[in-house]
Amino acid sequence: MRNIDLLRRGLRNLRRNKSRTILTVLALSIGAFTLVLTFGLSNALKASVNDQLSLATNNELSVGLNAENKNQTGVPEYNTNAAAAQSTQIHGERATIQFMTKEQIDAFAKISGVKQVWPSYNISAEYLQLDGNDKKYIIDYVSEQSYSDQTSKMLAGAYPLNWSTNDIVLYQSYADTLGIAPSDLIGKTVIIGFLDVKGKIAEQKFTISGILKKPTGFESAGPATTGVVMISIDSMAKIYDLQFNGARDFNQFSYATVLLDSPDNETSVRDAIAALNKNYSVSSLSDIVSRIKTVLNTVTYALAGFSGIVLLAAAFGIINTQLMSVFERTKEIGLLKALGMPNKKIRNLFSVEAVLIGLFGASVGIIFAFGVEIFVNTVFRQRLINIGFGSHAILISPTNVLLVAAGLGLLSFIAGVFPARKAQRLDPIQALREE
Amino acid sequence: MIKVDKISKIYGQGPASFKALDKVSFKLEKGANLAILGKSGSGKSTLMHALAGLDRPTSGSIAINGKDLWSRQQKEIDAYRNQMAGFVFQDFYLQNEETVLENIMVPLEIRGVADRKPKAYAALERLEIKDKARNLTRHLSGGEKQRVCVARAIIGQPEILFADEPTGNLDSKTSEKVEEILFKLNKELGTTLVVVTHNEDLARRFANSIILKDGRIIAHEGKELAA
Ligand SMILES: Nc1ncnc2c1ncn2[C@@H]1O[C@H](COP(=O)(O)OP(=O)(O)OP(=O)(O)O)[C@@H](O)[C@H]1O
Ligand SMILES: [Mg+2]
Repeated sequence: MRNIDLLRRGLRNLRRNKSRTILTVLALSIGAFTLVLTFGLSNALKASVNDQLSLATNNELSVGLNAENKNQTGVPEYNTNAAAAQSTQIHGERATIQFMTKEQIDAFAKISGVKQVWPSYNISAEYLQLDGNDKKYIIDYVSEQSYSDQTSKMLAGAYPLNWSTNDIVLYQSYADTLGIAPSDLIGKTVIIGFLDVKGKIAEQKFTISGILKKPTGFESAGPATTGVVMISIDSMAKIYDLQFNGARDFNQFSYATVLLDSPDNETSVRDAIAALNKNYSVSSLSDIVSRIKTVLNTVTYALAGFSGIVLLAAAFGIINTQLMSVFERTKEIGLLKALGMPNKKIRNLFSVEAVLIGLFGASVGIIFAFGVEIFVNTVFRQRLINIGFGSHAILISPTNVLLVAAGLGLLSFIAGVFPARKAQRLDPIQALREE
Repeated sequence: MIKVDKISKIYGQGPASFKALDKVSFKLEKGANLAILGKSGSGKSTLMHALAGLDRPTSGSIAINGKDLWSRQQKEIDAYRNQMAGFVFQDFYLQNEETVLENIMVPLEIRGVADRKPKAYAALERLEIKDKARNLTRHLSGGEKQRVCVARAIIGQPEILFADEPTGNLDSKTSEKVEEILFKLNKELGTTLVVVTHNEDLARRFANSIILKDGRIIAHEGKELAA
């Protein structure tokens, strides 16, 4: 029998048992649907993680110094020594670390592959005032310049390629609050007020070089009304000096940032830092990305596992359907054998039917998943962007489709083996004599 | 030529076993026609199934054109069923949800023939039911069904045509028509014809005959037949 005839015969048999076929296909399609959606969701999440974090710099390392007493439980004892252990956060991870001295930090700069090193200047500012405007506004956070190009995030002006101590970049929130068009703010002078070491207000003048768009997604630290300014590292150092020179913890830093010549140097630089002191803990953005991806993968596998259970149940549906089919078609099988159809072809016929059920189930599930993808991505597009998804909440790839289709084909083939064997073993005359 | 040498068929095992055929032997020339007679349960169908490669005898041998049938590999037995032997079953065994055309083309489909329709129509023409080609077989009368069965048996142009009580369920007029067709095939195409029948009138038209009783040949006659 030619393969095309085998396929036609299989299709005809499935059509003849329409309701049973449809029910089995439906059961399978539910599994395929959830599986494809799971993959699609995970793709979208990974893509948006990549999107968001690829904008941030990936050649910076954060270096902290772990406290000696690692088995510390409970609240640490107060240490009158300036270099006390302190609980802090590096890239979102809480760690008990020891302050580092300026000398310790400067040592990192000598490592080959390191471009620049600067300590965590933990400065705070009091207010921001546009020159010639009497209103003062709160500054929530003073950010240091980013070494990665933020041009794509600029609302107006340009992201300074070579930061001078004069440069300042404001977040969109200030432009919105001031009610001035962002482009009109470029080149304007702002005054930043802060407390010096004696608690007196000191002021520093800057020129606005750009306005950064409202942050979205993972980078949005808070609501759009958060006041953030970005200044050069040299300015940070200058303000830090005014704010802390003379205080007890002056020049004691909780962590340092190490800028690499290239991300390729990460391993060698990490090794060199570890060689300086084994208690240095180094973290980088790639750590976080890989940690987020691990979490995403775990969730994906868990969801895929549930779909797998649904599919397993559906596989028993196939076994059942096909066994019933073999029993019902005993006479047909007997006849085909009596007319000279080889046992192997009989087996193939039933296998083809099982695989067809699997492929139909996969197709229906995949089509519905695409439907949901289009629906969710179009209807919720704007809301998705706001919560940091990028423009896709679901991103089904051709690989996913092929994988699920092939997987279901294989699953239903395996499920069909037992019924097919049963059909193959029937004796033609006994089958025909059966009432 | 068909050469049957002491074939026996025992169903079941031990005390429950039943001997349906007991050392049956005969020879039939190629192109001959043969009637197998006997009471119900005498082993006629069992013998036909053994000859047609459908059911393996417990002992003895059957040679077709000098080549042993039941010692062949399954693949060759399948080919024998499909190409050498045509079988008209005692019950019709038609796929009632399929058309006449689909039903009669199955042997060619199994053989892997792509262009089946011309042969199918030729067979239907021979059986004079060409106009029913597109009908579902379940809508046919008994006589029409029987002719569809014959069409299915001859579509592959077998060398031997086996018919197990082909006129058993038909009225005399319809059975005459089917008989005519079978003898015409025997004469015109030289198809060896082996027919099981209860009908004495029909039996008389055959050149050779065998009478079975309790699985044994109790009488035989014919020039092309040797016991
Ligand atoms: N699978 C089987 N198991 C046990 N006995 C069987 C089996 N098949 C057939 N028989 C017995 O073998 C004997 C011969 O059966 P067979 O079908 O050959 O008879 P037959 O001559 O064709 O009868 P009929 O004219 O009624 O069709 C019968 O007694 C039948 O009961
Ligand atoms: Mg019989």
